[in-house]
Amino acid sequence: MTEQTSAEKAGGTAAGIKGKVYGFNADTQCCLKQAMLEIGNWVNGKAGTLLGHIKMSVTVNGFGMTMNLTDLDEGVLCQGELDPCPEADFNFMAAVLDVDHEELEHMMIHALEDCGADVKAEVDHDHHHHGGPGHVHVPGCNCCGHHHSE
Amino acid sequence: MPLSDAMYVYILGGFLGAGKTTLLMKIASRYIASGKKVSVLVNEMGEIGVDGATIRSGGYNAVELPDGCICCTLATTMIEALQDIKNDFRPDVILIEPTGLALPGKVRESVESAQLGEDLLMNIGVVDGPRFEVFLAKRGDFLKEQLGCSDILVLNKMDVTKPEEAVRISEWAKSELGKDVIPVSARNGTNLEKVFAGMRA
Repeated sequence: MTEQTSAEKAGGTAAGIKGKVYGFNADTQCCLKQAMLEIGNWVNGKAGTLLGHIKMSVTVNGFGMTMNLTDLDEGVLCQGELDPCPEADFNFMAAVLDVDHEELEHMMIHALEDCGADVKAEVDHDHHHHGGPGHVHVPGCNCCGHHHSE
Repeated sequence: MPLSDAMYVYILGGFLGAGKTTLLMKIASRYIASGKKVSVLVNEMGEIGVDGATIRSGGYNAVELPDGCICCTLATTMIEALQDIKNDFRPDVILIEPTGLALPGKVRESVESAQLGEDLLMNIGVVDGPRFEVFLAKRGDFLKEQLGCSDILVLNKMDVTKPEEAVRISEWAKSELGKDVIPVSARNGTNLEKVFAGMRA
């Protein structure tokens, strides 16, 4: 029997998505913050409280800003600055307790897609849509029913 | 300040969102302001690293180890990374930030096995003041194990922690861990001098 990892011991899970954000400016930043808050609220609803953090960096050549959400009352806190630019890289990650890994990843993808920012996430849709071929749902999947036509 | 030829290694442990990165950047700034070379090794659970960007944007030399935990799944990778940092950068100070789901005592064991020849190896535990009670209720055993190895125990976010909560945390730390806490706010810098003094910084 293999020894538990510390994350398993703590009952935590982490997921990350990276990609490009186009036309980055203050409005885009607000949209991305909204995506983070959506995940925070989802975790809060699922786990009863948000224990962990949801983070995003937006960078050009490795330098830029990060946004951090650990407390829903406090909201998303920003560190560093990034001037408006036509294209930037983003890294979006969440490490939280008491939620399912696949669900977390799935919710993060859709929070990004729905936030209003022009983003292109590097994701494997076969994986993220419960093993279905391409961008489709399998029966019983209702975690993002608002987003796709059946 | 450390002696000019010495190398100090600090491991900052604590739960997710406790303020480890904020504290780390304050410590790094302190050392850099005194002319020391600082390297940062930051670890994150997800496949994607975020804190490396924060740290690099602050002008610090940072190595990021994402997608695993340096106390278990990435222990060997961390040892190799530390040896590379030492050989390539020759830092005066190495700051290691494990993921918030790591057990810093195990990270310490790995650092010791790396045989870096450090002059000081210290664990700094960071407690999240406002969320301590909920962590304790949900993950009490883990919290105790995570903080139990701390040489310095920092009670962070004092700017948003109620005084009665701070008293309760101090009492818990004393009775359960046998340790005193240093109340600070890493965000606004309050009381960090006491932490620096304990670090011999």
